[in-house]
Amino acid sequence: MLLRVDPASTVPLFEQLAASIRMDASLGTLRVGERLPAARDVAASLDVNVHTVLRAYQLLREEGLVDLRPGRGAVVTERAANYGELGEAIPRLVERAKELGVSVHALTAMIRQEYTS
Amino acid sequence: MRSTHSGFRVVLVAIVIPLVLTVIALIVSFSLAAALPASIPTHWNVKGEVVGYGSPYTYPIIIASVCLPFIAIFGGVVVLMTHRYQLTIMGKILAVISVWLVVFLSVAMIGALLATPSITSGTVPGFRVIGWSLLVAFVVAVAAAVGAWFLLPRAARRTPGRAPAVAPIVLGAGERATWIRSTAANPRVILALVGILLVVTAVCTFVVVRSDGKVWPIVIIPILLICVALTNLAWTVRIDDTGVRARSALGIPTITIRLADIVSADVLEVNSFTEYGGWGFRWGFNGRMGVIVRSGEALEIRRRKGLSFVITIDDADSAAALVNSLIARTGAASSSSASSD
Repeated sequence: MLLRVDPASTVPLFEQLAASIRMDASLGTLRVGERLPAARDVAASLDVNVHTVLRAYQLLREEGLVDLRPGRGAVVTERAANYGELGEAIPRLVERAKELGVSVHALTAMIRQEYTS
Repeated sequence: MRSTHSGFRVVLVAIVIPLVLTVIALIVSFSLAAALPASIPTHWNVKGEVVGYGSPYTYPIIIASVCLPFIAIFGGVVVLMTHRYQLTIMGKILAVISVWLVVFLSVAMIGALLATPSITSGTVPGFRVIGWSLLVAFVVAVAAAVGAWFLLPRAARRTPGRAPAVAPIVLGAGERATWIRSTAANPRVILALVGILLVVTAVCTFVVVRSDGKVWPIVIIPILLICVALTNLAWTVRIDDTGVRARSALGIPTITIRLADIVSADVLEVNSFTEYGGWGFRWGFNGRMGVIVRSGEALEIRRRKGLSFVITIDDADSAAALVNSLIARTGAASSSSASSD
């Protein structure tokens, strides 16, 4: 799985990491039952703190994308398949929003609105 | 047209010739055995004294019971892999080993039978004659194997890798990226290995118990098997701006290739058996070496010096794309810093 972070970005590193993993799920490269790489390895490769990686995994656990089990690490749940389905719809939606000149703020606000209504 | 012609040559070398040779050897050894007494010397000690006698028919029986299954298995595998896939160097090696074995065994057995009358009459020491016949058999068999190699069609050219089929990964100057993934043998292969391991462990336990613990060191066998499996069949690949690292489940061996030593990465379709002769840490005889845990998608790391490194892994496209992006970024960074100097 591909993980990327940009320390220059204003988005917190753990959010970026979680977004990276969500992306893998939506692209279908992350399969159900697969184990996320050891936090220690990710931290070493990306030169970030282990706690940052663990925090990203914790965030994904709250979302239900992974299961955290002691001794087994972070295991991808069935929900990854649902992310994969959205992975096709979201690029289309964003593409259309760009064509129509709708900003990312406006689009996320509209999505949030749709959830709460 | 060409493929049917070369297919015929493979059948000829891998099946027909070894089979004909075996039949001839059987006819010759049977007729030689028929002319000998019912019991002849067959075993010698280091001093050259006869320590064992046996039937002369032992020799043709050995030829039949070793050569025929060998031809069936080796020849069958080579013909099948050529028919369904292509003739690889690995296939040629298998076919040539089969020819070597058939010739070696036939010549050695016939030599032993031919020498028997002079051995029994006491004119020459038996062990020396047998030694010579083994040496002659070895040389003749090597010659036959070399001949078989050249009689076989050329091995197929190695399959070229292809560029990763994903959009190039655009990395910012300060952005950090890594790709980490595990790869392991098919569940069916693992299940078979676990089965073998259980049988071996059971046999070893039985032997240790029956011998009242005298042969306890054989417990090393199942432990060794587990280590071999763990060091060969489960790996983790990590790619980052230092390069590519492949580490086995045990941590040993770990293969590290620095980014600076990589020309580019691409994606391959690998056939584990026909190209690499099995699973594990392998030499491909095709300019490639690598970690082959199954057939199918593989990442190929082309190095500046030496063999390409191949590892069978899912989503090799993303892995290759990241390697290429990382190389491109360091290249761009070094050329921009050079121009600013």
